[in-house]
Amino acid sequence: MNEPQQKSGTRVTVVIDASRSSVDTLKTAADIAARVQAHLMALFIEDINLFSLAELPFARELDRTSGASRPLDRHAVTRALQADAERIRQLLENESAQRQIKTSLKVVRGHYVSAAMQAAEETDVVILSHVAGVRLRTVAARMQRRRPARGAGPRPVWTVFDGSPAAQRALAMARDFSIERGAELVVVIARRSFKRLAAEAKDLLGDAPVRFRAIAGGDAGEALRAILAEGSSMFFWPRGESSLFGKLPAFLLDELVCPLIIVS
Amino acid sequence: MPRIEPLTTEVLYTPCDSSRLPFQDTSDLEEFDGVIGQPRALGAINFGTGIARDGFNIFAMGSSGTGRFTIVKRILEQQAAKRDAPSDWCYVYNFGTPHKPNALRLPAGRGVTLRDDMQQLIEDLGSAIPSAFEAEEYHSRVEKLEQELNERRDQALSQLATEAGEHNIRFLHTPAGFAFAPLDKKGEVIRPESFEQLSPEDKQNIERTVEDLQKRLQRIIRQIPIWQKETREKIKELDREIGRYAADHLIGLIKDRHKDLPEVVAYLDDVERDIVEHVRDFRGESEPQAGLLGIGSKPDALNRYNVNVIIDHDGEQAAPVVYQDLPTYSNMVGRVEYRAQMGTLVTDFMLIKSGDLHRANGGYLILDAMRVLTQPFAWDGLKRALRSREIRIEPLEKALGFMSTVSLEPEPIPLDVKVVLIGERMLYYLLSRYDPEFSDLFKVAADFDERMDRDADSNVQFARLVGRIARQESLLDLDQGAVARLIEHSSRLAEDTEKLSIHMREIVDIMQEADFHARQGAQQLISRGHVQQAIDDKIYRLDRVREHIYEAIRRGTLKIDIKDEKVGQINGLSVLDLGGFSFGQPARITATMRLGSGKVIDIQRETEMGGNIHSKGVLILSNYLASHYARGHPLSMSASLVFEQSYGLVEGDSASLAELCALLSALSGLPIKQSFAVTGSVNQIGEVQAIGGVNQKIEGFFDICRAGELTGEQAVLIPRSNVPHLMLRDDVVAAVAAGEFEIYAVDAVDQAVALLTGVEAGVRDRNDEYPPDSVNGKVERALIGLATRRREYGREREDRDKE
Repeated sequence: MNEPQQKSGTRVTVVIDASRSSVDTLKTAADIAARVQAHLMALFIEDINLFSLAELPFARELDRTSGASRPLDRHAVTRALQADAERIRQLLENESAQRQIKTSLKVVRGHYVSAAMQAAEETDVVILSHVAGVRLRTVAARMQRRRPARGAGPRPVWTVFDGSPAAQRALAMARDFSIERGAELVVVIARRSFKRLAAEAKDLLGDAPVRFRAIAGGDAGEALRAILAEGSSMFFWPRGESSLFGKLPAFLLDELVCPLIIVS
Repeated sequence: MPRIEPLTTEVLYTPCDSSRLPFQDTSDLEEFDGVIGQPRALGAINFGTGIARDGFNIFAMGSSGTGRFTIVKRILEQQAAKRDAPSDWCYVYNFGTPHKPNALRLPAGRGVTLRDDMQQLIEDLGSAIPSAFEAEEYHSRVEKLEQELNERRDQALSQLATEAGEHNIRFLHTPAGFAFAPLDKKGEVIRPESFEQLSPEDKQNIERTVEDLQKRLQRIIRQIPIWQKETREKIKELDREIGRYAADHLIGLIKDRHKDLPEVVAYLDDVERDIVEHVRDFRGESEPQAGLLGIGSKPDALNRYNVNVIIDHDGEQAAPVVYQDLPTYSNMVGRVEYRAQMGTLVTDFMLIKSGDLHRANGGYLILDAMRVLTQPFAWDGLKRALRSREIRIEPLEKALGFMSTVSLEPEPIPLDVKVVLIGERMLYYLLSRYDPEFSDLFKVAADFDERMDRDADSNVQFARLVGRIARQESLLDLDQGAVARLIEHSSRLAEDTEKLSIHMREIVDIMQEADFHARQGAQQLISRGHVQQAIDDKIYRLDRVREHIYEAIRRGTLKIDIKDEKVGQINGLSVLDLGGFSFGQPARITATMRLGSGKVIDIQRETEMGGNIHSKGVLILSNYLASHYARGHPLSMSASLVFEQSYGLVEGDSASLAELCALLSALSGLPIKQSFAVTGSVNQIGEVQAIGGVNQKIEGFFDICRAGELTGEQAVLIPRSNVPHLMLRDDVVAAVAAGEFEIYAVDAVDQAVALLTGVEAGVRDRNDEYPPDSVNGKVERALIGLATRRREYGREREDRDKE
């Protein structure tokens, strides 16, 4: 494979907030950072809406599991978010010690999607955590864990390929992770350019085993459904205007049940 | 009274005429597979094994070394060969009550087949079930169910979120749950100051709407577990369907193979139901459970489908004959073993181990009675099994309350066994007397004799038995002389010239040692000389104590006179048994007498060094004296008897003749020839009765005399009834033949006392008086004198008292 070179001084950012799963995402981000010898920055987003809500006199929170109602005030929100941030900091320290990488934590108050999009613009690799709503999807999550992903072994690594340099880098990273984890590599290609792009991807992958998945161009929803149906441990998304899928659809951030890695 | 003549050499030893044995050596003899000398025991065993009734178990009693075990085992094996191999027995998991494993009976050899079938089934299902669950159809059906759940939830939540949006309220994720936040005109969560600026009605409306949404969200959240449960049930039912599909065919094949066994088919039905219910176990997804009895923990989850074949008779053609050398409780009735797991002891039905009763079920079990009785609870366990006719494995530690952990209660197995206990006679008598259940459970007594008649036929039978032993033990064959010497030795062991001992252990030992000597001499056959050497060597190895005692006698440390004459002193003879060897030891017995009230004091008894039988013999002496010499006046003497230099227990009445002679000597004042030794017991009327160990006693005195000088005066007096028991050593017989030593046989005390004193004993005349110079006359006169003196003494005392 003609190895697509990662730009020097690569920056890896993982974007996390209180509502999203952080442990798996942080580990994935640390894996990537260690692989490209990059500084890993964790961007913890404190949802500004929560603070606004907490100021209201009638603000209440319903427990995710029991449905119990309890008052929500600014102090409670602050304490909960600080606890989350502290947990993230400890996780980062552990990863830093284990993988010999530099890490930092940045806490920002704002909106997750806009912060994620902005980070994607400014950083080479952005890892977005999936919504912790899996806790609502107990059965689905359990099935996901139980199902040996069409055979024994870990769930597949997915990547979107549109032929762009970013897509080539995403493909290379996805290939490395799939080999390292012994997972199947699934490459999503727009149906209208399937032959050409599949051949190109095949050429880039060399002997590495791969399965191609053709979907209608631009329909990220179809890719999402396939991922949900077959399971996924990582989903790589190449950033760029030339992508056949256009810009990253915001709903992916809410629906995916695995880390989303945006590669520039 | 006619003079008693010494015994001639013909009666001192009854040899076996080897020239009359109809063979040159034992290789000429045809194979002997019978039993000699035990017709009574054989009949009892054949009866006991033939009768198929409860309680007709056998107690084979007799001395050890008589071949009880060999004979019993051979007969049982012959009986067992006529019967078919019994059933196999397996323990299988009880799916209803796991702590009570079920027992399965299968025809011989089928237990292993079922076990292998089940192991293959587990292996096949291990691939078939995961494959079935890997199928695209299964995944799509699961995904459909999941999708339904997700859609149901998402629809509920998104509908609520949409409705909230219609009221300009946003559905938010918080760190621990959800919340509803009103929005401002820009679509952002309203700031508190903006909210404060709203009219009271608007604020109230927003609060009411949020409250309403929260209640509806609560209902949705609480509904979600119910939906999840429904979905899980549907997926579980789908799993059952797939599991049934995967297992049905494989189990059907096993059922077909065992369709002639309804119990097995029923068990397989249970297995199928359980597999369908626990199909996840085959997919490696079972949740680790508490692990009751070790079953259920993940590694052992499939263990419950195994089959524990505790009894396998595969390939056997006959009923089993089992002998247990160590009949402990658990060795007999089986046990449940445990294994350590996470610091505690757990068990399961695969750890049930069979016992001897299981292995002998349908056949025969041979046990050593003493070992059964000395092993804790083994006797009770055996009786309980025989009484209830079932084998119930109950851990002893549980029965005794030593262990309170959860254990198994395996289903009892029906018992059909014939038990043969082998033991000493005393055990049989004690059990019959003190154990009320014994007679009900062991109704057949097989009494093994220790001796058989010695005649021409039995000599040949004995020779054939010796030949068989030689072949079994890989010994050289024996020539005529060697067999003849063994027959003579056997007679000596039996202490009877007309009997043979069938205590074969001793004979086998001699044969093995003679074989050693023959091989040392590069001989092809064992000869008489080899047998004699074996006998002599064995004695030599064991007679250290004898040598020490004889040396002490020679040196005068132990005082034994073998010449001169002494009043009130006589040589008695005793036997010391040292296990495999016994020998005679002369002992000086002395008697003293004085005026008294007619008591004979046995110093041995007074010092508690005399046994009951010995005491009885001494008491008889008092009555003999009174009835013979003091019929018309009081027996006014007091005598004491003692075994001089005896420091151990004296038992038996074989010295009572010698003691009586010593008393008569003391009373009459006539000395006794110390060149004589005396053995024999007497009764109240003066008859001399047989005693044991006559050969050893004669040889013992002979050895002492020979160590000094054989004068031709030395002799031993024995009861005449012991003459048929004489099988004396060659050197003793030779000394008698040369006139250097004599043996006299007597019937009565008078004969003995006449020989010992050289004075006629004396017979009462018409006036009922003994001749004055006879022994009896002197004794009677002495006693009358004592009675007179006593009377006079009594008068003098009365006079003194009056004064």
